[in-house]
Amino acid sequence: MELEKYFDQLDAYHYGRLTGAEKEALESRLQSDPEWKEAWNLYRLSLAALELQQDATVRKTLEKIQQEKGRITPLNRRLMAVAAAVILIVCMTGSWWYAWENYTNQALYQANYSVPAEMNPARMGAGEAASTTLDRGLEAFQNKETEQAVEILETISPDNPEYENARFALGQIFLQTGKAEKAIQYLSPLTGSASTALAAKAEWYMALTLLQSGKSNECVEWLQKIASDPEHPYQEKAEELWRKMDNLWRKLITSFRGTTPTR
Amino acid sequence: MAAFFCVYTALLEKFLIFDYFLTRQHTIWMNGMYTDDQLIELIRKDGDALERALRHLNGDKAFRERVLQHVVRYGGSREDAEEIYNSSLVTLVSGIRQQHYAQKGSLHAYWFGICKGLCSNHFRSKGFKQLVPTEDEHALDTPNWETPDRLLLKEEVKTILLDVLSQLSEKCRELLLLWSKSYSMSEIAEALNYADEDSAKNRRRNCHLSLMKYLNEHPMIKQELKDLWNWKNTSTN
Repeated sequence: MELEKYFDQLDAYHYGRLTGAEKEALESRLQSDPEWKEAWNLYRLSLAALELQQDATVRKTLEKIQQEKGRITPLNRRLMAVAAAVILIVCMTGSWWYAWENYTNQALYQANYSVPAEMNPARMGAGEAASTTLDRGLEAFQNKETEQAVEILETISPDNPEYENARFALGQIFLQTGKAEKAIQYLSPLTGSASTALAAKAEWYMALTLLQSGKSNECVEWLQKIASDPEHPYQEKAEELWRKMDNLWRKLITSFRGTTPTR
Repeated sequence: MAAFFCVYTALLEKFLIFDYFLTRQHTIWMNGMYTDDQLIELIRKDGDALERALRHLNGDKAFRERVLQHVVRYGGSREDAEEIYNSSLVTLVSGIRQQHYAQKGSLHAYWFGICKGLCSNHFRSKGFKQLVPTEDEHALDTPNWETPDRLLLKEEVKTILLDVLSQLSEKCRELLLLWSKSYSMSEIAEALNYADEDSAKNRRRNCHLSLMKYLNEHPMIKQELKDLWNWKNTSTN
């Protein structure tokens, strides 16, 4: 069958471009002539093939969209995920806050520092005038006259029996006023004092000073030294502080910040 | 720790917000995105444009619910409703491309009309679960199948279509598909880089003739295609 022969007429018929008479004549041929009828069927089937191909593409796209939708987590599971996320965030924030409040250098220092009895002018008795240079220095510090207190205490010479106590007091003054380096300068020599009690105190406050200044490793070294001596008056305290410096909360802050938390 | 928080938040955001909008959970917001004219323009195209339009239409939960209620009134199930809904989308696209939609009413009204027609045919032919090929070669619209466009996903149907269209060159296929989507000859000439409208017309004539010749030379494929076409018409007429 030579389809070219029929095509233009059928195309014009499809597009409605035939005149009334032409249309009538063609429709009559389509009824009576099997070749024309077959050509028209082929024309329509070729259109059908194109249309079906389009439908298949649409259906495939739709199927893809709906499969994607099917993979999406249902709302109740999403809400559970949100709830889990909120709980997780609350727990993590709470943990962080707890660790921050209790395990930073500053927090550990404040929890462990107590003013030694040697710094308390009450030992002189109420209303009693300071009789020694050391007492005058301590009294000045009590009255918030820090510079004057340092000046007074610095005047005590090494041959004075109160020299070491004065150096210890100076260490405490600088420690309390946040001048860790200066405090170390005074406390460090005292750790070798002939007075065991004073040396023990100096060691403990050295550890605290190092902690306050952020030198955690050096602090731990001192704590280990103190904790390993069962006779040391600060042995228990040192052991406890050492344990705290090595626990998970402390590591949480350290790992997050990448450095030792000084606050 | 910071990285963990960032990743977790990003994932959470992806699943809870990004997906949320993409999947049209907020239909009110999303459905306001395209006008009917814009949708028609997208539907006339293929690829991403068509997908965008289908995503938009498929995400219309209110419309889907309306179809469901209509199907339920007929005594149908949710599955029936889903099938009719999907078929209606395919028919809607086809109707727009074949310019059956006169744009006299809203697109959704036209779409719902399709759903009603499909629903009525679906239940009328509920008993016919098997293919009943027509005996009358001239009558291409003999009713005989339940949910025809679903067949388009079947492998053998895909093969028929592939067999038919793969006989054409890629450009020929593209030209005919554009033409069947009611693109004008000048639009086709522009899209496929033909010198002018007349060149496109001549090319279309030759391609169309090639397709007809192939069908003429392959009676089996011709018959399968005819059956397939009849199934489609059963559901949409």
